[in-house]
Amino acid sequence: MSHKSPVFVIFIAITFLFLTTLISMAEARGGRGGGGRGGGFSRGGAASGGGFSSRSAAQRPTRSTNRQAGAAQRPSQPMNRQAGAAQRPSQAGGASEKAAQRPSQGQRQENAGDRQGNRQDNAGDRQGNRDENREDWQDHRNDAREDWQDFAEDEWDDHYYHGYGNSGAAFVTGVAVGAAVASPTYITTLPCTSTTVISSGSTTYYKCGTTWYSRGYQGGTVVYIVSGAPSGY
Amino acid sequence: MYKMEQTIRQISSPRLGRPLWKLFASLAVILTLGVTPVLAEETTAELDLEARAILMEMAAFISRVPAFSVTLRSAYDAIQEDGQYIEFGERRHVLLQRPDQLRVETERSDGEHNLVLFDGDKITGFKADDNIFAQVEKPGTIDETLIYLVRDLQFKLPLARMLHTGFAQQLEKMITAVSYVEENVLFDVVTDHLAVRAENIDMQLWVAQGDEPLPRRIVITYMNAPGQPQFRGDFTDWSIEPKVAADSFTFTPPADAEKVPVIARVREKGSIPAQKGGE
Repeated sequence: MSHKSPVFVIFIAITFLFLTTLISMAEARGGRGGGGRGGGFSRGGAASGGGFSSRSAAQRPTRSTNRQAGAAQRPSQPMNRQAGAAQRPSQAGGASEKAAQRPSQGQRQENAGDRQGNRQDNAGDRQGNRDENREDWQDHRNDAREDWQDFAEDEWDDHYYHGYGNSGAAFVTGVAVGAAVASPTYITTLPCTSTTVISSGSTTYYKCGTTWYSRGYQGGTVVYIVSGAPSGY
Repeated sequence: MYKMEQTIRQISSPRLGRPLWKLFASLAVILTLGVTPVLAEETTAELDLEARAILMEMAAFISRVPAFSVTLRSAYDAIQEDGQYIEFGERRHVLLQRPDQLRVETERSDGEHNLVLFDGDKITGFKADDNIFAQVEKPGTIDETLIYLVRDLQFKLPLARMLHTGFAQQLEKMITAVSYVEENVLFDVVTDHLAVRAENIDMQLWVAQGDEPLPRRIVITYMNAPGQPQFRGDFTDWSIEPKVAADSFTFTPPADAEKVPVIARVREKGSIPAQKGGE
């Protein structure tokens, strides 16, 4: 056997390094993705829930400090708004002025005229609706106040605050026997590619190492609940 | 306004016939005297009042219609541990019939599907990809179900408050300022672009002009969250007279679907109504 050339050895070494790097990258990013092919970036965060509130969590700066800093960084609103308003002396005037600046666009002029008419009509309608609605709101407000106060102050749609990162007990409900199981242990992704999948009765079990899991539903996704072994295993 | 025109006329009349630039110079002097800022402030205040009225009218309209359907195509910033901003997206079709029927179909950008139904008695979650479903007995209204879904079942339903009949009231309570940005013509209908500030969020809304003041786009910035991420959503296919099929709100599981338990979160305050889980 002749000796391998240095170039061949270097080629093998580079190939080895490349492959090991690829594997480690796959491990680093794998396993956190969703249903399809993905790079494993986290899908969570304060904006993922699309809530109308975002109460500060422990890791956030205090509100007053943050607000002051924010205000200092921004130009004051009145200055900003004055500049904008100066460009359109009135809303109606602004619309016609825009059209007048572009005389070559006859179509747009017509549209602007139509819009102007529409806006005036709508403004009238709105005023009428507003008066009618005001009473409805008032009634509704009184009716709903008690109900609303139960949760409004809790900012129930703040996923960031109520999210998975917060400590808190969970329990399982909706099980066939109708019982609630306090504080189950569950994970969002199986820690292995389970090769042992058992269907026992109507439940599917997965085995990773010595631990058995069954599936559950949380927040619109599948989770894996640590469970006992299926009968016979 | 009339006073300003009169002033201009008084200043410029004796100088008629002189070069036009002198007229402009006179106007510039008037502007620097501060007449315009005063007028602008008044105009801004009027516009902001109108903006607030448009916002509240939109919210009241959504709250009072007996039924509607809409598709929400949304995207949000997911800020990674290293600070990188990644955008993920979802598409939801919502069908709502007050007081107690709701259907939300969700498709995530990675292809995962999820269906949630509420028929007035129970909530069903179905994942066709995994062929599993879960059910919780929870008789009540859509309003109660929304809170239970989002807060206790940790179900991700962006803009859930918009589906609640108390949306207008809650908006009124939370907003600190509303401004009129502009009239936007880039949608299928002309919209009013509003800028809304609340205690913890900044929000922009594009509300359709006309008889159905429904939102066409929304952007929410979470001002107090690290990195100030955004949620962005486009509303399409609004219908306030939606087609409701006989089985729109009922669930018939596929023959081989597995029923699994639901994991709910227990709140420490204990204000959640007692669970009635199970069959």
